[in-house]
Amino acid sequence: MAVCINNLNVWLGSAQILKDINLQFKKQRITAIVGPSGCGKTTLLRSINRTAELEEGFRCSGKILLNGKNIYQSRDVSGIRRKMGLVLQTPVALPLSIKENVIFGARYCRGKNKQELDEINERCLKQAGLWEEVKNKLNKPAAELSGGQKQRLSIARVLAVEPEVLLLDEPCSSLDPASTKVIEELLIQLSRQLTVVLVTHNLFQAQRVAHDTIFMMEGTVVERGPTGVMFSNPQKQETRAFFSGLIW
Amino acid sequence: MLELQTQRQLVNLLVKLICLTVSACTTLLLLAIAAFMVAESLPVWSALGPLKIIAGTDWSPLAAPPRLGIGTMILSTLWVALGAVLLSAPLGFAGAIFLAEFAPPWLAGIIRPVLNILTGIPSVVYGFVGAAVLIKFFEVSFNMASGESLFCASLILTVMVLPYIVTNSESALRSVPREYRQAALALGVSKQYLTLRVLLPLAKKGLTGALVLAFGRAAGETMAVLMLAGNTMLLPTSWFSKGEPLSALIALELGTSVVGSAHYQALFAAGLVLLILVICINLFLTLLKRG
Amino acid sequence: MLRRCLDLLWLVLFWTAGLFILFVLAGIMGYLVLRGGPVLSWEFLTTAPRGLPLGAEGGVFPAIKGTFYLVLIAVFSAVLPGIITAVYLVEYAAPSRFRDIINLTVQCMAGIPSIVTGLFAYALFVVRMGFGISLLAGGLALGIMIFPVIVVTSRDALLAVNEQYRLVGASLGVSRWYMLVRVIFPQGLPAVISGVLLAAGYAAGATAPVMVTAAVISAGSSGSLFEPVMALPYHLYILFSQQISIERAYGTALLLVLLLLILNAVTLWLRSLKGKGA
Repeated sequence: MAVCINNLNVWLGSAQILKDINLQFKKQRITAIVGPSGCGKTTLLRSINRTAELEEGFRCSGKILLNGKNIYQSRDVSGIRRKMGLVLQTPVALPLSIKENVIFGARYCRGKNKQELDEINERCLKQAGLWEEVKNKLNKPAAELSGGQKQRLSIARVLAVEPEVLLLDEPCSSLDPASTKVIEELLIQLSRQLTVVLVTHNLFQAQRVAHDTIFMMEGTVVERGPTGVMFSNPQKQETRAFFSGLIW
Repeated sequence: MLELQTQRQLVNLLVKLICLTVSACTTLLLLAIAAFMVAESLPVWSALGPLKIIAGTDWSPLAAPPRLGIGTMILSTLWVALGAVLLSAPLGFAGAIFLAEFAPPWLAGIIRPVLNILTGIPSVVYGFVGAAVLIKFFEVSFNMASGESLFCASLILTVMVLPYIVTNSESALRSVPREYRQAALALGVSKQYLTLRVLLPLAKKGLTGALVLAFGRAAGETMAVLMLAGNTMLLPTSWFSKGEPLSALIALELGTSVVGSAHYQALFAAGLVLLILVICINLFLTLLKRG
Repeated sequence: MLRRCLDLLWLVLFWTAGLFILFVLAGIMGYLVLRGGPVLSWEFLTTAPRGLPLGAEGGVFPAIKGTFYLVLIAVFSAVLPGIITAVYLVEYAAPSRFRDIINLTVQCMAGIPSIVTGLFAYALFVVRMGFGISLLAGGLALGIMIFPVIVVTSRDALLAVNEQYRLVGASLGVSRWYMLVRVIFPQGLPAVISGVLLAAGYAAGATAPVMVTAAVISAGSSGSLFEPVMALPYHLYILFSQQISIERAYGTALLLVLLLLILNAVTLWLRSLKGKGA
C-alpha cells in the first residue's frame, strides 16, 4: 500500500470539505477519482500533497500514511510535497526556459552540478514523452509551448524531484483530444514505476486508463472498486445515477 | 544533498524573519508619529484644556498668556474639504459611470492614464495655477479687492480629488457582478436606467468609500489651500469668506515658532487633530469594507 | 418619449464628465506651456537664480539639484523597507491579525497629510536629533511620506504575478525565497520599479514636508547632508507668494509637470515590457 488514508476530515473555515475519507492507493496502479464538481476531489489531492494547508482556514483530522508513515506528523513538509508530486488542472509553465522549468525543483534540492542537472532534464523530458519535440529548443521560453506540451512539461517538472506518487488534478480538462491521448498513454507508462492518482470528470478517461475507480460525492467516498466492476455493475444508487446521467 | 536543503530552508527562515521585523517596524513608525504629536502638544492640552483649544476661536500665540484656539482653523478645514467633496461628487460619479459603462474602450484607455497624471501633479502646481487663474478671475469679474476664499480653495481641491473619486467609484461599479447587468438588460431597460437604478445602489458602499477617502485627501491638503484660502484668522461665516485651514496654519507658522513654546506645542496640537481625523477616516473605511 | 429624453440627458451628462477630465489636464498643460514655455531654456535649467529680489532673473539649477538630492535620499531610505514589507504581506504573512494590522498601518500612513509627516520630521530630525533645517531631514521626511506608496504599489505588483506559479512552487517543495528569486521577482520587477518611479515623482512634487524641514529661499544645494537646500516646488511657491517673478514661476511649474509626464511615460513603457516577458 503506497498511500493509505484513514478517517480523513478536512475543513476550510466552517465548511467541511472532506468527511471521513478512507482510501488506499496501490503501487503501480492508476486510481481514478470521479465525481461531480465541488465534491472535494481537488482538496483531497492537495491534502495528500500538503498544499491544501496553504488555504485560509484549513483544518484536518485523521491520517494520511505514505509507506506507513503519517505525512502530517513529518516535519519535512517540502520533502513530503516532493514525494507526492502534484500536477495542476491548468498547464503552468513557469516564466523560465524549458530546461529550467524541468529542473526547477531539482536545482533547489541538488544545487548547481550542471552535468547532473542535464541528465535529470533529459531523463524527465524523455519520461514525459516531450524530449523529441523540444530537444533542440531547451533554452527557449516555456511559454512558447502548446497547452498539451505545457502539461507534459509540468509532469516532467514533477518527475525531476523523484516523487513516489503522482497526483494529477484533471490534467486534460483544458486540452484537445489529441493531447489528451498522448497524456493518457504517458500515464499508463508512468504507472509502471509510480503510484498514479488521477482526478477526472471525464468518465471515459477513467475507463480508458484507470485500474481502480473511486466515486466521490459531497466530500465522501460513495463507492470504490476495480474500474471494470464499477462501470459495469455499480452497487450504489448515487453511483448509478451519476454514471447514467453522463454516459447514457 | 540534505545539507543544501537545510541551508536553503535556513536562508528562507532568515528572510522571513527580516520581513517580519521590518513590517513590525512600520507599525512602530506610525505609532511614533502619533506619539510625537501627542508628546509635543501635551503641555498645551493639559494647560488650556482640550475644549478651549478645539472650540476656541482666538489664535494669538505670542500674547501673554497665549491664546491658542484652533476652532477657526478646524472649521476652515472642514468647510473647504466638505465643499470640495460636495462639488466633485456628482462630477466624479458621472465620470466613473462614463468610464465603467459608456466610454468607448479607446477613450477609456486615454482617460485612465490622464487620471493617473492628474493624481501625480504636485499640489503646489495646482495651488499656483488656481491662484494665478481663479483668483484673478474672481478679482476681475466680481471686482473684489482680493479673490482668495474658502470657495476658491474648494474649487481647486475639487479638481485635485476628482481623480480619486473617479478611480475608486469606477472600481466599485465594476465590482458589481455581471449577472445583474444581464438580468436587467434582458428586461429591456435602457443602459442609463440600469446604471442609475441598479448599479449605483449596489455599489453604494464603494461609492461612499470613495467620497470618504476624497474627504481625507482634501482635509490634509496643504499647498493648494495655503495659496488659495486667504489665510486670515477670522471665523469663516460663509463659503466665500477667507479662512486658514489647519494644514496651512502649520506650514506657515512652524518655521517661526520657538521650539518648546506654547505656540510650537499648539501647532502639534493642530497636527494631532489632523492625524486623528485621518486615522478615523481610515478605520471607517476598513469597517466599511468589512461590512 | 419622456424616458427617451431623460436617457439622452443622462448620456450627455456622463460624456461631459468624462470629457471634463481630459479638459482639465489639457487646460492645465496648455496654460502652463503657453505661459511657462518661453521661460524654459537651457540657461533657465543650468544657472542659479539672480536679480533683486533673488529669483527675478536667472534659473533654477540649485533647486533642480536640491530636489534631485531630496528624492534620492527619500527613495534610498524608503525603497528597501517598502519592498520588504510588501514581500512580507504577499509572500510570508499567513492570514492573521498581525497581517491585518500591517495592512491597516500602511493604509493609515498613506492617508497621513504630508504636512503632518513634515511636522513629525521637524520634531524628530530637525529638533530632537539636531540635524537642523537640512537636506537629510527633508529627504527622510519625504522617505516617510513615500514609504506607504512603495508598499502599496509593490504589494499590488507581487499580487499581480500569476498565483499558479506559487502553487507550483509550493507543490514542488521549494522555499518561498527560492520562488521569489527565481520567478516572482523577475515577473513583478517592472511593476515594482514603476511604482518606485511614481513614488519618486510624488516626492519631487511634495512641498509641505520640504518647506518645514529642508528648503530655503536660496542655497547652493551642494549635496551636503546637513545643509539646507533649494527645492523646485518650494521655489515655485516662493516665486509666486513673494511676487518675485510670475514668469519664472510658470517656468518652474511647467518643469515640475514635465518631470511628472516623463516619469509617467517611463512607467507606461515598463508596464508594456512586462506584457512581453510573461
